[in-house]
Amino acid sequence: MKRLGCRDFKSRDFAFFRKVKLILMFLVVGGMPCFATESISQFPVGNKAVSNLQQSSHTVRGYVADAQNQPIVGATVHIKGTNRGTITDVQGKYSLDVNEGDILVYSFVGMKPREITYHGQKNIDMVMEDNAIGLDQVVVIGYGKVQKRDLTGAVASIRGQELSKIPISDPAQALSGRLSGVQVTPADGTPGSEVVIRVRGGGSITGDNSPLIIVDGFPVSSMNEISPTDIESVDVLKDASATAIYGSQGANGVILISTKSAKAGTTQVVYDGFVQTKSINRRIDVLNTYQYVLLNYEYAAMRGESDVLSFEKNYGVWDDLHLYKEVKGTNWQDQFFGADLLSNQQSLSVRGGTKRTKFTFSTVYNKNNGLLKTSNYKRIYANFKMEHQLFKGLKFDLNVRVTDYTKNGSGTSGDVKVRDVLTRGPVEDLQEFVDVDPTEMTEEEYQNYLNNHLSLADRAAQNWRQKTGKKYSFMGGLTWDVVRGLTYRLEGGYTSRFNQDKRYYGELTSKAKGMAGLPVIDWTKTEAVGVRQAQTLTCVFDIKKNHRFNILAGEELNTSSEKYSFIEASHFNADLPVEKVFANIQLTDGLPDISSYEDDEYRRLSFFGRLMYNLKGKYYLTGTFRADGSSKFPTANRWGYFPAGSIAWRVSEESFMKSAKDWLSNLKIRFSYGEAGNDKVKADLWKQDYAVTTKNAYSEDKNLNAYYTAENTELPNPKLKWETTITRNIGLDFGFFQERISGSIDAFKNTARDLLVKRSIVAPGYTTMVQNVGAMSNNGIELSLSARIIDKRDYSLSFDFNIGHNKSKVDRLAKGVTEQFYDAVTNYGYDDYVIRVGEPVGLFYGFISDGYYTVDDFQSYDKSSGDYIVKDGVAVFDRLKSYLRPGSAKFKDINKDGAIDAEDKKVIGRADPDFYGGFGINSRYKGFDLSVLCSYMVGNKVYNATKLATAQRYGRDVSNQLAINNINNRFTYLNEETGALVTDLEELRVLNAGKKMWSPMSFDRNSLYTSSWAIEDGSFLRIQNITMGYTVPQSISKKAGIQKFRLYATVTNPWIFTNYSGYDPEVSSSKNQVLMPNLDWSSYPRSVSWTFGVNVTF
Amino acid sequence: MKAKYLAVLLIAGVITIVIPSCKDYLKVDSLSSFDEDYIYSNKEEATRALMGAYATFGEDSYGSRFATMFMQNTDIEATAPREQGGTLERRDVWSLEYNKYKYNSEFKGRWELAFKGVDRANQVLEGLKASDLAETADYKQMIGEAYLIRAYWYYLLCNLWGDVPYFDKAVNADMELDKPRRDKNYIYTACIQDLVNCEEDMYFAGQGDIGITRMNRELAIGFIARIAMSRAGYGMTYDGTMKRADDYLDTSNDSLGVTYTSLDGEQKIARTSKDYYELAANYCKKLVRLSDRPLDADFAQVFKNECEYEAPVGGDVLFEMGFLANYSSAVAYSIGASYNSEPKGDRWDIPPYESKNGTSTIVSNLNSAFFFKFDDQDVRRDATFGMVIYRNDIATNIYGFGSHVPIGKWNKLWIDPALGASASRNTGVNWPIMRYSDVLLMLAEAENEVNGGPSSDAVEAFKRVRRRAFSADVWATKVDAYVAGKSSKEDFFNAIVDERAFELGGECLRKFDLIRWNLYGKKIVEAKQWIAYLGKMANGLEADVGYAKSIYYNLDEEHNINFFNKKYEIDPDRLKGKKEVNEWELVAGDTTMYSRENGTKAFWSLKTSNVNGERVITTNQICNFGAWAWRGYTDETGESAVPYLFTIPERIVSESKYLRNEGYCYNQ
Repeated sequence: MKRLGCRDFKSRDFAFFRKVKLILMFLVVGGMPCFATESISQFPVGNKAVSNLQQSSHTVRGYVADAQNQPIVGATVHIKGTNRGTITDVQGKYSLDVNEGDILVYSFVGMKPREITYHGQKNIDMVMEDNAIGLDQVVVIGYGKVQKRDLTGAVASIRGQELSKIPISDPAQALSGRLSGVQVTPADGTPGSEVVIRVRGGGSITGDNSPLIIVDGFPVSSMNEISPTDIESVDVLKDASATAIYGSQGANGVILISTKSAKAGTTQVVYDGFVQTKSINRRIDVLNTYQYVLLNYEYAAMRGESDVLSFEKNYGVWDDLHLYKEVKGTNWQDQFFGADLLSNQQSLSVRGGTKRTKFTFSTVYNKNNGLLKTSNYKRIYANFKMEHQLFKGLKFDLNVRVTDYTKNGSGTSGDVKVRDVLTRGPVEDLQEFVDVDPTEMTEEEYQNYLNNHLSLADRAAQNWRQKTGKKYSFMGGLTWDVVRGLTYRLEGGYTSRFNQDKRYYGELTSKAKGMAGLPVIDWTKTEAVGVRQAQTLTCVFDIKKNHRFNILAGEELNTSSEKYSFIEASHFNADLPVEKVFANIQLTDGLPDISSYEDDEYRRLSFFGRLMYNLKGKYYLTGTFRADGSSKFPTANRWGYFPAGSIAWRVSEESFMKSAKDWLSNLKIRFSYGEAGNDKVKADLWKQDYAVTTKNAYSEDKNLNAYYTAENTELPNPKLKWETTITRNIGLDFGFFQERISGSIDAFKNTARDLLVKRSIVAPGYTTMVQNVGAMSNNGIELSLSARIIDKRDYSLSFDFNIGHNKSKVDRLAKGVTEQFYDAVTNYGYDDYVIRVGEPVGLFYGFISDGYYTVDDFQSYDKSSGDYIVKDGVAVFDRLKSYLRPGSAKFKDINKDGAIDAEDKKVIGRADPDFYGGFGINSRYKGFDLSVLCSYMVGNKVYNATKLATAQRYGRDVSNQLAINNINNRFTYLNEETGALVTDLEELRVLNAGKKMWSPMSFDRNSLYTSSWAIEDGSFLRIQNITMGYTVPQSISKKAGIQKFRLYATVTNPWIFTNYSGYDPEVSSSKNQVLMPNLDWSSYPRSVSWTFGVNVTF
Repeated sequence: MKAKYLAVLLIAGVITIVIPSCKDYLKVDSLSSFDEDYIYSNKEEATRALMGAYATFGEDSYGSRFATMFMQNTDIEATAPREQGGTLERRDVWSLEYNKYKYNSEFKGRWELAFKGVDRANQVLEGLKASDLAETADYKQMIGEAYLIRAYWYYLLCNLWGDVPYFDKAVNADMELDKPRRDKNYIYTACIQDLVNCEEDMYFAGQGDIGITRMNRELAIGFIARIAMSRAGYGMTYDGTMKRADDYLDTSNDSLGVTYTSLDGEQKIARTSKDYYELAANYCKKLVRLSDRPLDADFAQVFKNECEYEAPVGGDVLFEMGFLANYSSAVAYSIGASYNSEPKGDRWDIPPYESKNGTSTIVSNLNSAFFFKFDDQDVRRDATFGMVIYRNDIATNIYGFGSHVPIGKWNKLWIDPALGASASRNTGVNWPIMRYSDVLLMLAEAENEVNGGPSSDAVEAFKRVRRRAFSADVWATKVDAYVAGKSSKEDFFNAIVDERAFELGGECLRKFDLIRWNLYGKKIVEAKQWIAYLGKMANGLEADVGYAKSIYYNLDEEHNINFFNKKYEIDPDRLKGKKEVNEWELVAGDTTMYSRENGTKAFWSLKTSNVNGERVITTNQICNFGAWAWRGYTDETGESAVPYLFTIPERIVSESKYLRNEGYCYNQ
């Protein structure tokens, strides 16, 4: 490599070199801020002019500030065409000797350079504007940064300024709808609930398609580990050319987050705070009191005399039922979701330092109250970042993060399910006056009794749960500029996580009932440790000015391990407060069950290299290679090798495009191809190992002896190997009118082969096995557009828009297998999801709903047996034969064999949307700012299992149901005038003329039968949030010593336009999001929240 | 320049740390897991591995299902399912309508557990055999135990599901995992041969620290006989009929032959039904020769021992499943006397309960009509029928004979040390698998088959069982004369069919006996007829033989229920001076006599009403219990096969290339 020195530069080259140097710096520091001071250290700091050969005649002084009138420290001021210049001091001041006619160039990283011609001014103050948008925008890529113009891969980015305007407590949710090709779906509306992020659909069907998340160069397990207020920028790498440098970890996309850093010389104190109030915006209509009682009466009447008697005991006699019309009853949705609690978040950050040492300290307190009184989420977060120049050319950086959270309430995991909220009757029955004999009850009847007699809040309290977590991360790095253009970096990280999950099952829970009614607790402690070490060597150089090279070589190793300990103890006094129980487990009267377990360490060792080359800023070539070794595979299959490459052509830089420069500021074509691996499966699936347990112990002598049992429930597969994802991307970046309008289009095809699939198998002792079977692909196209319509100092208006389309396809399954079924909510082997070769994943599987059996389908009613005799040729569903009457729900006999059975099930919908995306408007007028952000999805279907379960008796005999089952809409056997049960076919016909719903008595209470009725269009347009802010003019705020004072109000999720009948079409209740997506099963409603907040900078 | 030196040093340091460890870096030590080499390396660890196979019996699916609930409904053990038009719940397994309830979730986990038991036994077998210690006595014993565990699970599988896939090797990913059904007679044959081969290497209880809760040589010998009896007997075949192997298989096939050495030292090969009866007789006699013992004098104590956590060696029980309180066993919880708590306060649902051992939920019961089949002087009757209801550790009332009656052999009341007021399942009460009296009755039965009539050995074995059931002063009539009257092969066989009910009633062995005898259908019909007869008699529709109209009893100071009569009408003299009351709440020490209607009246549903001054019978039919309990079997002749085979779970059927619910009893 040719050593580049100062002497070699012509003045024009100076700026060029600085850019190279900047890139180098970015690469080296990996997320640390870049300081221009370093790269132009040949200039002395201060207000003295550079002594030079040429004596100047005038001195100009001035002050350089940003748009907020903050002094810019270290900004460069130099005279165009020379190597004379200076940099600003800590007050942003400078002075420079100049000649008449010199052109002064002001530049600073991340700011638009400004030029001004000297005509004898004494003082030139300069306001510089952020240059976050446009081609100079710096984009973080793996182990480095590049300017947007030089990107060869598909990357979507978002700047912190856009994020910071909107109050969020969860960084992941802030991305929703903002980035093309990135889908962000919260599991449901519980505070702190998991957020599912998918980049281009994800390629694997093992169940884990989460992208890799890197914060300041270090991987984290969840975006929740950082504070939303600290985010400087988010870049999402979507294709293999960009992700390949991360190898196996990047197969599902990479989200790179940079956090804010300090600027030398100034100290900034920023306070952000908000309070928030929430409510649900959608309620599901259920039967009113009278309709509810009427439904139960009908059910009792159909069951016979003894049931009517017990109904009368519970609700009174038929003649009095009309009285229920006057009873308002309880709206359990209000009771359950109506908690009127304020959430709040406070954050404080301090940034500052000197030229050699800079630090950032920030802390956030967040309390997020749920809609349910007993569930909330508290988080405390602290982050300390420091950077120190040890010696010239050697920099040390350190980052320490501490997070601490507490999540109270069992959410949807306890005994109270959201569907209980819907199915709970609006009135208490009269059963409290009736003697009940528990010993005569079965377990199910007991549960029913509890369901009917405990308030939901009581039941929630009976399922006390508290999850706490503490995480400490220490990360440090050393960057050494060996020689100009050659940088070595060594980094290390250590994270330690300690989680506790405490559960208390009160005396009335089913678990305590199993221990004959005394409280039971369990307490799981998890300790996880992660160690990471990496070193990279980066070399940046030019050959003959036109050929620029950036070569990276590196090594990385990761180790992570988890330990668990578990205590279950029972027989506690029910009067003891929960906290006391946990503080004194020795109060147990039962034998505590204690166990511990340590996962096998997960280790990865990787070697990687990357070559980036560009010719004249027009032709780009990137090649990446990474070798990953994973301890999860058998020795022979441990290493996976993942190459990637991409090319790009900046057409707009060609001479023949010169004429178009006026309107076409950028046009780039990109193409990439790459492979990545996936090892996200349990460790040790390839060998038979044994673990120790005492569960269901056999004992020869009444002593407890632990025994060995197969460690994995899956049959070991000694042939396990890496899953490989191949991505191909073709993209076009364009910009018009000096990037006032810019955007990109990408088309991709991702193929995953040797998919790691947990397969259901027929084998003694095992039901599943993880195998490398099959292949699947994702094809898609994405477009993002950004327009800065007006961009003036006092007012601006910009518009962003993105849209994506993605189609998944299962290309191959195990040998000889063309389809596989999965069961989300139905019972008894009646699967509701299927994957099929040649079709997308996420297919709903079930019957085609065919309304109900009409009176015409029957020939007679047999009084003695109580059966309706069906006409010949009418297809009957075997499993629901005993519920067959006119008005029973009917499924289509697809194969026309005269019987309805499993053969008549088919694919009844597809979860994938046709397209999805988001758009937003940002505007500013003087101190006011307004932004609106929307997201949308079209063509996605949602499997509304909650609807199924609330339109029939499910799990209990007496339940409330959806309002569509009111007697005027549903098929009924009850003469509402007389209370008599109608069995005569002709009378039934008259009674039910024009009824739309089948009888809810069509089903047994143990099963759900998935039909096309439950598959709904989930298309939606959601206003994510509207924020309005006002920044007090600095002239006023300065008097109070405040640099910036902004007040704002935000409404989050105010409207959603959808035909979906459940709470929210953006839902994902299943644990297996890939195979069983878009399931609405008892999920929490999403809330509308109002937030009022303040941003203060001192 | 200092910086550079420092950095260079660091790099050098890192490289020296990383590079040498590279090679082994990806090899990970497992702290919480153990490999086969280790776990079979010494006796203690190998025992833990073996216990892993035993632990399949610790699961609730075994204790409350395979061992008990699945063994209904026979003519002896029977519980009424719910009303017709079932709800796909667990009670429907009693109705024999598996075809109708194909989707009953009851079977999924159970099928999987049974095959898990098979595979765990295979894993242990392979591990033990591969060990350097395989030839030691302790290891040979454990190898025998693993064979027995496998044979036991197959015995259950073949009787409950019929022909099932057979695995004699631990599964691995490279072998054929999805196999077709294998005829049960081949499986029985292979299991018998395994046990014949390893039996002599095993310890008798009392040797080598092995008691009656480890599968011992007594069990091995007894189990050879038990499987041989099934191998000799009938089973459901693909065409839906009951057949013996001789009827449809080529028994000259070596896979249907067991080679063994007879007691006279002669090498023999069993192939036909008769051969297998001979083999069974041979092994029963072998046990008598090697390990004879008197039957425990107190019949009730045999089972009470289990509740008292006593497991005496050398007694009646040869092997019982060893369970642990709070960890395993459903005995005395789901099978046994009715034992519960009364609520303490006003609200029943508010604990604490007062009983020392918590609660029970009894799901396995006896057909109460069976009570009337017992000889009046047979001591086994009152030990078998749990007629007393316990609440809060005291007797509170009695059961009539309405439908089913709990089994009295086990009772939570006797559990000591107490489980605590909040206990439910996981009682730790052991479950008997093989008793000596069972072996004696098998000996008698097999000898009778081999010799075409009762031999002296057969008669003596039979008498030994009967002697224990009666006091010595009536042996002349109840034992000697009784047996003398059963001199033909057929009579003697029928006496054994009855005797096995009296001796083993409630121990859930009846179902498989009925299958191998091909008497399942006949006995169902007989049971229904008997119920109908008792019911009609109680309702005055049959000649009165003096059975009780009411049962009279009181509660003494010590909280014992004193029965004044059970089966027969009470002597009117004894009622003199007593106040007859019919109360639910009894008062201890109140010598007033209580009465309860004898439930047999409810066996026949006879309702009359007054129409225009005339008495008209509106209902005249067998009770719900009689109608529902065996409702899947409607043949009134008892000739056709009972559709007793469980369904293969839906998941298996949909995944498997071979396994279907077709043929057998699934063709209707």
